[in-house]
Amino acid sequence: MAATDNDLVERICRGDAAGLALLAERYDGEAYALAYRLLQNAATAEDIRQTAFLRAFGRLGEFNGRAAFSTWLFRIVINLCRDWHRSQRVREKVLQKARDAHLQEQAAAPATGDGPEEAEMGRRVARAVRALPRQAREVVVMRHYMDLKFTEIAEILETPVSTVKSRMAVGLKLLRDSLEDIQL
Amino acid sequence: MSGSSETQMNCETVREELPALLYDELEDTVRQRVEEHLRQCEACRAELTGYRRAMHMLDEWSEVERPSQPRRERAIRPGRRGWRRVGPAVVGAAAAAIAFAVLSLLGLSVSYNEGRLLLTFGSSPDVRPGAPDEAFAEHLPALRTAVQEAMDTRIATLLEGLETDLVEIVNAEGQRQLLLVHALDQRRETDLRQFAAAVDVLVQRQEEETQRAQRFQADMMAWRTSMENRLPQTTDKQEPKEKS
Ligand SMILES: [Zn+2]
Repeated sequence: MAATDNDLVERICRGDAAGLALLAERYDGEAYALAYRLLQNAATAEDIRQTAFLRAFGRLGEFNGRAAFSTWLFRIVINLCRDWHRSQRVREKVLQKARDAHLQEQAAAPATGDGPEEAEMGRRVARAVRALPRQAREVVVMRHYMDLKFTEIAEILETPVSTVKSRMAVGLKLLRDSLEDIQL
Repeated sequence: MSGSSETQMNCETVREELPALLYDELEDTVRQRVEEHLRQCEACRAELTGYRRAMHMLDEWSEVERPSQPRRERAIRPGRRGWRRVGPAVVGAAAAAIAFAVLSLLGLSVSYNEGRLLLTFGSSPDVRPGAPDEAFAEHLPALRTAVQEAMDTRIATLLEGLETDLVEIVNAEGQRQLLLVHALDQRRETDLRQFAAAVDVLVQRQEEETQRAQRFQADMMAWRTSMENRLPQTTDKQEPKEKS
């Protein structure tokens, strides 16, 4: 029988360190994926994953168990992504161009693995997601890729559910427009 | 026609619910009302179709790229003994084994050895829970210096230098330079910042522990003083009382 997150948190607070590793392992992949989908940079996502866990465990005393541990952890990840964006805006702009250039290069090169069309489509969608306003992008990523419910997202963002839904609508609308020419 | 007026939804309300409809998060009663409106309203149907299309297109982006170096790949899962490697060789300057381990109240310990930063979950023999770790405090200035030096040399040259030139590069140069920037960015070492963050966490805990110890000590002193004041007769010959 797997321990619940809150069981593990409780164990950790009692000094049982094994709970820490279990909890970290449980959310490693998701914390990374969330940061990666939001920032689309592997090195930075890895940074944020590590920092998020350090921060989460360093401040476990502040975690009051009212929300789920995952909610709290994802909120930390989101905040780190926001901080990163804020502090790196100029740099990010340039690196973004660099990434796009890299992607174009890749697209021009012969396909590897996936069919060329498939891979190209994925990259276009990734670019379209990246181009979304931050608030819409956060919601789209969490709802579609992390499979979190609107209520859970609302809790993570500390925002009303109605706001979350309307950000999702904005996101879908923008995606629809920017990917208009793609044939599915 | 069907449905009373109180169950009628207007286009605006319906559209607010479309994302929840798409992701199957509407309560039955609301969903029925939304669907009823959709049956009658072509504009909202078209809107839904567009959203649905966008939603399906999102599936095309499936790949989550993993960090480039294989060691990072490994870092995703803790090893058998719970060791988690946070960084590669960090600095030459601090090469001599500065080793320290601090166990927080949580059982998280960080050690720095031969230029490698290790995070470990679980107890290790080096680790003494509870008491402030003097060995760590001793090494702290050296660590700080090491981090600072490393930051100065590597980050300053690699990243900051890069940043100042970035805008110009983009304006003046083309594709090749951008690719170079991308490659550099992919390869940049992120570990120093992790190291700094880890040190901050440790420092903070160390300070908390020290404060706690100081508070305890102060309490004990106060208690002793009060006891002495209250019971002046219980003299101890080893400790002569002050005389006036
Ligand atoms: Zn309508």
